[in-house]
Amino acid sequence: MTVILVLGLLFVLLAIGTPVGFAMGFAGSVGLLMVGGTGTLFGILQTAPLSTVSSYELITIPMFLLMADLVLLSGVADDMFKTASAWVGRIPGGLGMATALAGAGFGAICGTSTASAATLASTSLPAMIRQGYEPKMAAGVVAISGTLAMLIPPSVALVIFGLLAEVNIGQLLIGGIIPAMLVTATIMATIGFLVWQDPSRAPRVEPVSWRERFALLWQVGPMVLLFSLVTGTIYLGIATPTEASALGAAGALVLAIAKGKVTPGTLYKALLSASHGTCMIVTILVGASIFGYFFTLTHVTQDLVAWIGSLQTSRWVIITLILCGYIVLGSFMDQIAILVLTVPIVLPLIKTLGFDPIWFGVIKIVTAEVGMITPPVGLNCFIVARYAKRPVAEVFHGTFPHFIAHLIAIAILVAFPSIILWLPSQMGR
Amino acid sequence: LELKVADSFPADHYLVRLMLKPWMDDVAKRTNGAVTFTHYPNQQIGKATDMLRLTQSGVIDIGYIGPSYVSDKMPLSEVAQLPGAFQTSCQGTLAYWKAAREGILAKQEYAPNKIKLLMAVVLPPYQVWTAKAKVETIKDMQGLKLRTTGGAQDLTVRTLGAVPVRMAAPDAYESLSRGTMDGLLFPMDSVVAYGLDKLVKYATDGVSFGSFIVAYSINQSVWDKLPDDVKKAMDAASEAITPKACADVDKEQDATRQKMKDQGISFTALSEATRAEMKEKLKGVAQEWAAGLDSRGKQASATLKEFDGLLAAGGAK
Amino acid sequence: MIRRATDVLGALERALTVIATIALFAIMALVVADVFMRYVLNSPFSFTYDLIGLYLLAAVFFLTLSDTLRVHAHVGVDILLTRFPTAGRRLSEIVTALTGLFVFGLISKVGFERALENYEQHDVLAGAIAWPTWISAALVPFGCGVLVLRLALQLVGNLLSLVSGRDLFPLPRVNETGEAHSFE
Ligand code: NA
Ligand code: NA
Repeated sequence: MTVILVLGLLFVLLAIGTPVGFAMGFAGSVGLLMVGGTGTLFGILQTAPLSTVSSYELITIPMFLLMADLVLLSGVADDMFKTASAWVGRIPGGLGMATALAGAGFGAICGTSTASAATLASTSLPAMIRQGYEPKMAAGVVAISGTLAMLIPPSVALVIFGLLAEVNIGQLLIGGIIPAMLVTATIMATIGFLVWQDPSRAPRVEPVSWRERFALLWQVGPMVLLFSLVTGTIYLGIATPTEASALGAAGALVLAIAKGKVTPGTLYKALLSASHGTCMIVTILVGASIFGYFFTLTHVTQDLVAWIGSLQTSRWVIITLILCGYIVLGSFMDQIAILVLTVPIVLPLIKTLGFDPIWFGVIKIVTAEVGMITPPVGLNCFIVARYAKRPVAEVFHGTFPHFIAHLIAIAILVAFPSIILWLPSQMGR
Repeated sequence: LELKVADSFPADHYLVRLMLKPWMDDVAKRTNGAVTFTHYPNQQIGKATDMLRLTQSGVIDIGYIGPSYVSDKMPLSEVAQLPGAFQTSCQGTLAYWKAAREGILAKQEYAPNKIKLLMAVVLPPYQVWTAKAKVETIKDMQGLKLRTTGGAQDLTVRTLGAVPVRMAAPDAYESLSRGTMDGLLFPMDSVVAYGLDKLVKYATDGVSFGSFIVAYSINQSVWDKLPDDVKKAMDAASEAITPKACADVDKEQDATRQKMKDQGISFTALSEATRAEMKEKLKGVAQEWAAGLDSRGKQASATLKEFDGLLAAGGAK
Repeated sequence: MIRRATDVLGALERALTVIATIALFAIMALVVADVFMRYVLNSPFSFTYDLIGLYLLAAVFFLTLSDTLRVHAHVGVDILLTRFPTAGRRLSEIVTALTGLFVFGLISKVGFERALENYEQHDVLAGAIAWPTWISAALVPFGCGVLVLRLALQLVGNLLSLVSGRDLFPLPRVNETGEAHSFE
């Protein structure tokens, strides 16, 4: 009864727009009060906020956010799209495919999908429109390509999953790489399909000479360097996965300085934005921990896990239901909020069912990508609509083919777990 | 009467199996089921660093309060975690048990924190685990990057000429496999728990680089309110489990060592000369530790003296 | 009156945010320096791990807590909100203020007790450097305390606006894009 009451309170608060962290913290506190009285509530409130913050691993969140802000500042995304379009631009739908490649490349140095979508929307989207691309399709590919940033390391979302699930974050980040290639290929194939259906959607572009193509390759240098700084330093044993995030931020700072974009003002703005972002995320983590302790004390999680574990249903049916649930949740909820709300409950279940937590983490992030482009709340579509000055509905319409394609990609990842698990398994050698 | 017990171990952890579970069952049996326990494992109710406060504030009744996690509140307990003091879990455990139930630690550390020790195991001594370099002498340790968890361990590693490295526990696996660090100071069971047994190739044997206290304590005012027969039952269960648990831990350690040997990890017993040399060097660590705490008005020297006496009485050294 | 309070509180929040951004920059610089010292010179700093985990992260979070609310960067589900009339949105802000006051008011109270205890008992971490624990414990009631002031202002401002029908306290811009402050 208490649980239903508190859950109801949480949903009402969320629905009327109370910030997620506040809503969870409040509902959880009320629940703790009902279950354990003031002693329990005060004890949890005295410990949970500080110990959520006081862990060294947490620096990955502010550092990846700072890195994203500094990379945005440096403006290297322009170069990346230019290079990609020089190489694949001649193929039917080439600029769209170049957008996907640029999204993957930018995702390799930027940890948040919204930052990536904003960048692509201000660089590759105008280029496609200028070329006479169907606006709907152009906007759709930009919105979906932005989401690659949360799957390719560095990724704030993967790190948050790792912290919540207490799995090896290094392996988790590495586990995202091959699925990201698959998803990139899926996006490119979808574009190919759309253009094959109706060639007028994507007019051909002028060819670029081979000399120029190779000349442009150098432009990718800073991106490769920055990517190596994060992933390479882990691999070479120079830094731990936690420390690599700070190296990435520092590298992005150096890059932005080299590009002449850093002034005290712009640097402060980047630091400020990263601080606000950190605070926002950690507030949710604190609220979620308070709520989580309430849940533990009521034994709901344990009972639920035991109940589902005792079902005779195939584990594949259960995982399918879970993933469908995530896609529904993702249509209207914030992805980080979904992670903190559900991972503590779902993960024990996943383990009970005999699935690999790292595999599940990566799959979960791919469903989160879907959530970024589905109505009514699809942040990436909002961002693109704003930059492109086009109706939101049109962008949602444009992402629909990618939504279908993404579901196929998820099915493939579920059917063949080794796509995710092979690369991390090579790390321990 | 229902008591809430919480810890940060996985539900199937061997210390839960060897110590907590048998104790809870024993108490239930001795009280004819009048006392029942709800166990919250896996930091479901709070992190290891928060267990002391959660116990004090009554969120839980009994908590796994590792003195290392609350070194600001229980600095003197580190006496049982200093290097070179003892060889087996039971030697360390029985000495700590006495000191923490009746000795200086009971008065200076448990009483002021308003908790009472129910059961404890001091883990078998830490060894140096390495992936590439074999450690046979002190010279082999020069410049090796070894992960420590701070405190006296830092001092130990530094004293022996190695380089202490701090890092988050989840980073340990990657760091060892990629060579970010050369090895770690760890108890054997943690090596297995973090999956590091797949990575390490060499381990030292027969020396002590420190240890770790796993202790469950009860909120003092909860204890005071218990009926006398329940107190008696718990005391009896505690007295029974402590020597048994440490013996089981020592036995388990031998079995694990054999399994690791079969996996190809080589254990190097350090020579008599190296051990003597090490002992000489590490003597300073205990003294430096005690002096530092004495200067802050804590009775560390007295604690050290008492603990050494208890060890000697128990046949260690 | 409300304008005056808004200005004073805003100035305090911005000052704290400056400290937080310095802490953030310090985290980056310290980790990079530490990696360099360890990998190149084989002698890592022994203090960065505790300094960052104990103080700097807590500073970044608690010192921006209130400012983050001021700039409306705390994320919420705002699909319904965009369809609310002004009065409805004020009510929503009032509910947020009340929930926040309850949670963060209590955190400030019990956090203050903890910090005071750490201070009075001279609690320090064991190790090479005796870091006092009261400093990080004090960041909790301090940061949450400023947030409580902000929430009280939000409560009073919206209540008065609702009652008087005048716009005494600005509502957050309804942002169809939600883009300015999202971090996924
Ligand atoms: Na990324
Ligand atoms: Na959505």
